[in-house]
Amino acid sequence: MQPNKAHEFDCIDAHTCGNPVRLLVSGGPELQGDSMAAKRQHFLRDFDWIRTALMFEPRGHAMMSGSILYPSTRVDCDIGVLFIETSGCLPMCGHGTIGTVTIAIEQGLATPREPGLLVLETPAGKVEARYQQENGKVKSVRLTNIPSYLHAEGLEVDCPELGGVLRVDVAYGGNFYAIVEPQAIYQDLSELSAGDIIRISPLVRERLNQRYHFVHPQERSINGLSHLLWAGKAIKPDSHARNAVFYGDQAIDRSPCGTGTSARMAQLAARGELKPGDNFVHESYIGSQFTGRVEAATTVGDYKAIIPSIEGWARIYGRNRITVDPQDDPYWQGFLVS
Amino acid sequence: MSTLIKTLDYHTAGEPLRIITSGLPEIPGDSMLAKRRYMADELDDYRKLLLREPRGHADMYGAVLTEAVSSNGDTGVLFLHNGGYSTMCGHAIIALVTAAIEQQSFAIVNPDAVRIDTPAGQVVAKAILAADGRVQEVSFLNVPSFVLEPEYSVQVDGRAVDMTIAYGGAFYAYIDAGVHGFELLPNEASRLVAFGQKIKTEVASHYQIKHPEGDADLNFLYGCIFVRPGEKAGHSRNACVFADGQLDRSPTGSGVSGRAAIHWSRGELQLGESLEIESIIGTRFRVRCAEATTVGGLPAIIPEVTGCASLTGTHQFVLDERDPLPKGFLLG
Repeated sequence: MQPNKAHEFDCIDAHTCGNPVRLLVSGGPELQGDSMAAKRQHFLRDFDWIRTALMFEPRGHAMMSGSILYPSTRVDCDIGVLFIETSGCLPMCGHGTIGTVTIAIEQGLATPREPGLLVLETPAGKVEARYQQENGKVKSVRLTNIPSYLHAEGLEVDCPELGGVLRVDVAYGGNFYAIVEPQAIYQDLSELSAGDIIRISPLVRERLNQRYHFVHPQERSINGLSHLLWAGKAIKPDSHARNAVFYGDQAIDRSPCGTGTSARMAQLAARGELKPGDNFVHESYIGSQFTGRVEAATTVGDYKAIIPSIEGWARIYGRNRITVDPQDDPYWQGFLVS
Repeated sequence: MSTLIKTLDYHTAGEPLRIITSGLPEIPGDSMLAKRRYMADELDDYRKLLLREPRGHADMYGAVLTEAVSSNGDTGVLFLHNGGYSTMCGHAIIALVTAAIEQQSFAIVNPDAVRIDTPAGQVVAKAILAADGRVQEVSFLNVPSFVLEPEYSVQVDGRAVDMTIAYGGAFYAYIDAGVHGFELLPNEASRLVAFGQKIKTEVASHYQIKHPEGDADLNFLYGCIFVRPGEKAGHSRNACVFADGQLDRSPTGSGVSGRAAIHWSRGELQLGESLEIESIIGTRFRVRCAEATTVGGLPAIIPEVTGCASLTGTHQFVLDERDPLPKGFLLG
């Protein structure tokens, strides 16, 4: 389905610790389906041009992401949300949730039944977001993530780019992460430029996936190493650690990464360095912070695991009316340069 | 800093232009170069806020409308990029004229001769209107463009990089893409940027660029333009790496002006003739060799550049007083 006339999309843009969240307020399509998962399928089938128009250049850029609100199809949720990214429509997105909740509460776009708790229906299922308010604005949002666990320790992978062999742990926090901690050939994250991370990470990821198989013990469809987490020393005095997460073809997370922080906490908990109730303040490549917490201990298959939560902030930065006119603009669907 | 800034966003042949229409303090200065210096010294945080992440991105481009500095100018304009301030920008002129006519972003006396004061001098543009009154394309007569150095060479990573240095509103090094293994496709973007930045650094440290009669603020190498034969009917394809490693999505207005000067100087392009030059994403500009002239004794041409722009959005940017990134950021 393609538009033959000009469309206008009203958006409120915010950023979650540096990652953009473009919330589509008006102009979104009506979607059929008895769940957000079904509505997501309808969107992908008939309205993907809206995603590419709003996310790709020239209206967006390689790091853009966003969301669209719908009435929830479930009685136990306050509102439904569809996530949109340059890569597609993720069933669940942590930084997207923090930004969406912040905008929705500050702008009165959603009404929680219980103040301080907005219950979202995402395509991945029900997500509870607890938020703190201050002077009418949302100060921070906390999400509880899925059970996270340390999957493998001390895996070796060639990295001639850094001059030798890297040892990594692999942990799961919603995605599989290879966690690269400081060692002989990698002293600290401060040694790597953004260009280095983008150049080296996909090579290391490919070598790890060739040599090892990463499969979730309870859900075999979750497999493969998708993310690299370069760990390093904190720069801010109140952070426990710093990290840069690489994913996709050439993306570095601007935020401290919710699923990455979950994986890192699972690794540290497995080593006995974190226990239930402990906080873990994680700093991103640009210095923004998430506060993770080990909510409880659990198991995933035969693995010891934790239930992590992540608290982060988002700030609104603009109101935009995006115009998309197929009659006028040959690039109405957008493009990416990569 | 004002916390509500309005912009009109366009793209010209894929290259963004964020036109700042309100929310900035007044920019004093009796020439556009003086205004450019003032903004760089006093108001640079606005550039960072509006162009860098999260509001913009590494390849965002901006324009600030000011009062004209000439007696007959319709507007003045400053050009903003990820590393600072350009002196002239063709894709911006095309979008600015489109915005003036379609969105009344500044008043114009005569759509056949829109007079825009830029730091490189006054540029005169004309809009070609479609039957429905919308702008079909925009042509502008650029500043006199000329070859500064027909043959120059630097060493990069142990090998020679041959180039021609020319001016089309800014100075560029023009380099054969094929010799260095580039087809000028989007998936070469990061390699092109890295190579272009190295070349620029080498040229800057070995060659003293000097505009023969212009202000000293013009005397710097703005970018590298890689050139190869075009696809389909286009004359050629080029990709411009400029400022602090930005990659132009458009064929580059000032860049194709320098291209026309080069081909004219070699006898490959006659007065009145045009070239169609495509960008790394396949969009096109037309450049015509409109007039011959001289610049400080060097033979030069007045190029006419033609292209089209589309509105992508109207924006109201705010800065939350709690936002810990008031100047935005780039990963670098």
